Amino acid sequence: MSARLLLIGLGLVAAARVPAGEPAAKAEAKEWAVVVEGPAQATSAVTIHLTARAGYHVNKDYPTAFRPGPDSTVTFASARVALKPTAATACAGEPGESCAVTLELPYRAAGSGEARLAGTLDFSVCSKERCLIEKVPLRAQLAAGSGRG
Amino acid sequence: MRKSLVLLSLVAAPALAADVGGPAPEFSLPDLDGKVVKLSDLHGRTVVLEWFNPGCPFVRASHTRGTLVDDAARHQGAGVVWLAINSAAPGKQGYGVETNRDAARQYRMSYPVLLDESGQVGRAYGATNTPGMIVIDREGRLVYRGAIDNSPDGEQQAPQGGTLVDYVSAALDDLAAGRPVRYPETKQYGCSVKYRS
Repeated sequence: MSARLLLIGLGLVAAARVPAGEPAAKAEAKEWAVVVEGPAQATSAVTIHLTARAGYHVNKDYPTAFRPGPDSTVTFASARVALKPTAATACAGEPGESCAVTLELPYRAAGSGEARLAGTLDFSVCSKERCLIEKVPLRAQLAAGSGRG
Repeated sequence: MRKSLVLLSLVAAPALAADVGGPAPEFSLPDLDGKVVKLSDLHGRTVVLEWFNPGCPFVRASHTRGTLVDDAARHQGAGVVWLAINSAAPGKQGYGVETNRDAARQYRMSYPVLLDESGQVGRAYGATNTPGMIVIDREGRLVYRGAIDNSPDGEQQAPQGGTLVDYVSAALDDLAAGRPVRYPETKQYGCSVKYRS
């Protein structure tokens, strides 16, 4: 039961099929990168790594969230899933700011067979000069059986 | 030499922000047409100050999808004076008359945008973010400082505690009813004010 993940974000993401727990694909811009890992076996969450770069940090005051799309066949606890960092990497030279965070996105799959995780990741990154609010489309094809709650 | 150093350090020291509950600092700032607006000329009226920056995505979200879409017009209708203030320094994001004029037109702002390029007024009020909000009562006291609401995405989709609270409207409602302001100070969210370094 190897989980497989297909992700498309902002048209910048290379689709990939990879073993569970390994980087599947990423969406990126000059100021940030989003990498999604497929679920490990018998888990019901994907791991999202959000990295700020080019002098930006993750805006800790912004309510980072995943909003499920209508074509998602896996379900979520709510129409807007708040995502709190489970790990963070401090920015060098910027006390109190994180340049990378790890987010866990739990989901529930109804049954066996391939399932689709689709929606939008909302986050914000800031530099000293400006902030960005990003809404990145995510789309992942999950292998049979993964994500049963 | 020593006197010069002392003077320099005094000039460079950050101004202390006014206390909530205390007198609102006087200011005199030009709008986008050069007309000067002076706070003391508004004595006897309730005044809202909105820290503004047209380049800030939180300002854009608040004005296009969030609480600032209609708050100002609604409260102006009840006699409140609403003023936007941009404390961006020259060369910083959101600075410039035309940039602000375009944004005011796009957001259908029916109130002046005042330019505070020295940042003195922003610092005097403790404005740290855009949009950041101040409410001044009819007696000239600063009675609210903080965010426009409790949804730090700027678009009312993530209210803390699950229920949207429009802090400025709450303060204005309290003043109108003669009650103490329920939320006198909240944490500002959004972009940092682009003060002169």
